[in-house]
Amino acid sequence: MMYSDIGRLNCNISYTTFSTSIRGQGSDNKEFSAMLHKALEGSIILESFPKTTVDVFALVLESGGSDLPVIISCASLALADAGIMMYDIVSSVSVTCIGKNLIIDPTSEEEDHQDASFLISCMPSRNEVTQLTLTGEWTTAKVHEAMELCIDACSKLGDIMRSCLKEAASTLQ
Amino acid sequence: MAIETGEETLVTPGEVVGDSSDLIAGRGAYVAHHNGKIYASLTGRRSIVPPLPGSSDQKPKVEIVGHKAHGAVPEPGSVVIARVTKVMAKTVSADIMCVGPKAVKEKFTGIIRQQDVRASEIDKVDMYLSFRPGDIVRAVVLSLGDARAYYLSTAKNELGVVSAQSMAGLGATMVPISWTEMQCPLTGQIEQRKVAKVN
Repeated sequence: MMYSDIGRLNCNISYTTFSTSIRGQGSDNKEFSAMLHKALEGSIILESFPKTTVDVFALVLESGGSDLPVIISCASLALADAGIMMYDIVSSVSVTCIGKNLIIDPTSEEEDHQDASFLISCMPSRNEVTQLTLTGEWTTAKVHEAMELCIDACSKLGDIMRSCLKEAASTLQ
Repeated sequence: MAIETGEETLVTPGEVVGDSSDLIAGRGAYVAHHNGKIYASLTGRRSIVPPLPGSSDQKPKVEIVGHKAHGAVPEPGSVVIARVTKVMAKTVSADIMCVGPKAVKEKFTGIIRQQDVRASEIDKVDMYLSFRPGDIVRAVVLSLGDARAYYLSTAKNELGVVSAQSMAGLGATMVPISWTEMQCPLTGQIEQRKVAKVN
């Protein structure tokens, strides 16, 4: 391992063989791992732990759609629960566009029929976006609509995440 | 904004815990430069520490105490207890076992370099006459060191070998008899060490 003045973040996402409806597709997902890394690295105060690595391993046991946003939110919760210094928690939400409809938190079937998708990870209390991914065809109006929907959902999700954290912290004491 | 001293509430990372105009960010909190607000960076209890009497800054400090205890981690300046694992011509490797009074949970390795063994005649130090594998050493952490190990120093009277067993193999703990010598109580054999002054 290289010496580093700041901490490092190491992310890995893998799927079990039985997680998807088609059996035997379980493996490491490099693209998702990189996206998880991007979404989280902006929220962690890496300067607070020099020469150290934080490992985030996610294993998907059962996939029902919207995997990445769920993994990002969960990973952020896990980091906050573990006592890693961070600027803010990261909540993540995805939206799928089918025809003229926008569907938030799509299921696997909805994702299979999507024309376009939108994923946002943000730090709700700081009002900052750590990651944004757009795929497929979008019109400007639709992007606006999807963005508003996602930001609103992120802040709501953030509130729920905070109350979960507090509940876990208070039951521990 | 009203400040209730001593009041404790649970906070999570990203929650505003005060304003930098009337509070100082302590451990587990940080100041955001864009709006001057103080945010929590840990999950835990918020507490407000009143300023020390006579200090220059008269603002109270806001701290977040994490809800989970972490294992001790060596940092520059901390006194550690280490067990010597390998003695080489210019360096000694040691496994850090305690940081201050706390035992470490993970494995940390340290290196004592020839120039850091003692304060005087640092170029005449013979590592083989200062340490042996198995010795328990008290040292201070100089720096984070390189990728593998922390840099440790024993260049003080109270630092050095605090406990060592004799070479005779009887497992007897030796008794210090001078700054550089320890003696086996069973065989009477004298061995060379960088002895620490233990109170």
